[in-house]
Amino acid sequence: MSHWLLRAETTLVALARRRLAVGILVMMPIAFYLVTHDSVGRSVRALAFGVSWAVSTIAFFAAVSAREIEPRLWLAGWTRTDLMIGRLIGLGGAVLALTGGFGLLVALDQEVRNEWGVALDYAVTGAVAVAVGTAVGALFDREMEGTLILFFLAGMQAIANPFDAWSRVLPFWSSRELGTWAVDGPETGSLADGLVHASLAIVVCGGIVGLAEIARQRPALRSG
Amino acid sequence: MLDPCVLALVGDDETYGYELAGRLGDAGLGPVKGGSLYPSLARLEKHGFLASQWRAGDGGPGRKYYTLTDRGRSELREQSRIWAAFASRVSSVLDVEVHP
Amino acid sequence: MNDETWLDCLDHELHAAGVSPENRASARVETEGFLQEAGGSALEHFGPPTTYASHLADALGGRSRPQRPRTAAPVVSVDGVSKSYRSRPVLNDVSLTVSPGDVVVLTGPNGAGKSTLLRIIAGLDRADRGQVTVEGAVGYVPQRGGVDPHLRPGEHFELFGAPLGLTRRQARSEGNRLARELGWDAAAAPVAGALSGGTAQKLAVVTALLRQPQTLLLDEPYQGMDADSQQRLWALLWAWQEGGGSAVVSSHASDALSKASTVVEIEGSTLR
Repeated sequence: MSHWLLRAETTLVALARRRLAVGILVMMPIAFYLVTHDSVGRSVRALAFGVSWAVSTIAFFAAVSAREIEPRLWLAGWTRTDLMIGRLIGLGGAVLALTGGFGLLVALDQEVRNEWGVALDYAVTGAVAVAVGTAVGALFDREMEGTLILFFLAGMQAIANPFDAWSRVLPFWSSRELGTWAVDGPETGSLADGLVHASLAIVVCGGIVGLAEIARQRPALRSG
Repeated sequence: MLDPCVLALVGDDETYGYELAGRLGDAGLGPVKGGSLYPSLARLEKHGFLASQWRAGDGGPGRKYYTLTDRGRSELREQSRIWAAFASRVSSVLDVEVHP
Repeated sequence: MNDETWLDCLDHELHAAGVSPENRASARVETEGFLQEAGGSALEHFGPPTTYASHLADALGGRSRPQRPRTAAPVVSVDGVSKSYRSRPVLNDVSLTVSPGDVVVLTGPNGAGKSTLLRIIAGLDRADRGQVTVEGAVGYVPQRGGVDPHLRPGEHFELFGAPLGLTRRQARSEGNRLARELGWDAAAAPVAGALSGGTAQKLAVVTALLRQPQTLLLDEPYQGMDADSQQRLWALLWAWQEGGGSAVVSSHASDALSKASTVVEIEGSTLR
C-alpha cells in the first residue's frame, strides 16, 4: 500500500474521533442554510459560506495537529510530499462526502435552476477551504492566531460587497460567484470567473505552504 | 590486603558494591568503608580481574554489578598461594599452628 | 557538607586528576547507590572527597582510558553551533561529539537551549551558525507531544513502521514488544491524547525506536514517568548502548548524569 494512503486513512480516523468538533462544524453550514431558507439564492450562498468557514477550520486544525507528529514521521523515513498529499487526500475525501451531502440536501429541499451547479459550488468551495486552512496552518503555529485569521477572512467575506472589485482578493470570492451562477444563471454569475478564481486561490495557498515548508527545512547537513 | 579478599568474595556470583561491603563485614573483616572498597574494585577492574555491567537498581540509581573474570580467577588462585606461603612462614616465626 | 556537595567536590577532584567523564559518572552513581542503601553521610563512608578522589584516581590509573575505544567515527558532531530567537541568543558556539555507544546527557538550567540543540541535531531546526553532521538515522522524542492525540498507539506504530517496509501487523507487534520493555501494554491503550504524560512519552520513545536509528535524541524523556518506568527506560538505553546505539538525552534530573557516558553542561548560552 502506498504510504500516502495510510496517512490519508489516519487523517480520516483522527478527524472522525473529534466527534464534537466535527459535529459543530457540520451543523454550522446547515444552521446558516436554515436561517436564510426563505430565499433560495441567499440560502444556497449562506450554506457555501458555512462550508468555507467550517472546512477551512477543520483543515487548519488538521495542519496544526500534524505539526506534532509529521516532523517525527519525516525523521522515520516519510517524505514530506507523501505526508502532505496523504493528509490532503484524507481531508479532501471527507470534504467531498460532506459537500456532496449538502448538495443533495439543497437539491431535495429547494427548487434550484441548476442542482449540479450548486454541488459544484460546494465542492469547489470545499477544495479552496482545504487549501486556505492548510496555508493558514503553515503560517501560524498556534491555534489562537490561526483561528482569528480564519474569523477575519470569514468576516470580510460576509460583509464585503461582491460587486466591489477589491472583494476579489478574498479567497472565497469564487464561492459566491459560483453560487450566483448556479442559482440565478450565467447572466449574473460566471462559471469561468469562479473556476479561475478558485484555481488561483488554490495555487496561491499552495505557494504559501511550499514556501513555509522550505523555510522550515534545514540545509542538507545530514550524511549517511 | 583488601584486593584478594574482594576477589574471593565476588566469587562465582555477581555482586555490587554495597552488597560486597556486607559480605566483607560478614566474613569478619570488619566494616569496610566505601572509601576503600570502590578504589579496590576500580583497580581490580582495571587489571581485568573483574568485569562489570550496569543495571537498573530497585528504584534508585543504577547499579554496577561485578563478576570475576578468568584472569581474576587465576589471580585469586595465585594470591591465595602467596598468602598461604606467607602465612605459614609468619606462623612458623610466631610459633603458632595454622589450620588451613 | 551535604552529600550533593560532597559528590560535586568528588567529581571536581576526579576531573582535576584527569579521570575520564565516563569513570567520573560511574563513580558518582556507585557512590550514590551505596549511600542510598547504607544510609549515613558520604563523609562517614568515604572520607573527605579529596582523599577518596585521589585513591580512586590512583586505582583507575589517573588519565584512564575511556571505557570504550573511541576509534569509531562520531555519529553526531556539532561544531560551533549558535542560534538566536528574535535576537535573543539561545545557543552560543556549542560543540559536542557523540560516538557509537555513547549516551551523552545534556544538562543545564531551563531555557539553556537543550531542547533547541536537540531539535537542531534532529534537523527540525536550523542553526544560525556552525555545522552539524549526523551519521545514520536519528529518532527524536520531544519533551511533550510528538504524537497524534487522536490516534491509538497501534495506529502510530503502523505510521512509523510504514517507511521501514513493515506491514501493519509487523509494525504493531514490534511496537507492542518495545512498549512491553518499558512496562507498558500498548495494545490495550486508548488514543494518545488520553494517555498520562509519562505514558505518552513512552509512546514517543517506542515510535522513535521502531526505526532502530543510530542515534536517539531524547528531550527530558522521563518527565512524568514513575520510578519504575525511568529505570526501565535506562535499562533499555543501556541495552541500546551495548548494541552500539548512541543517545543524546537532555535532563535536569541529577540522577541522569550518573547514568551517562558523557555529560555536557549547557549553561546560559554557552557550553562549558
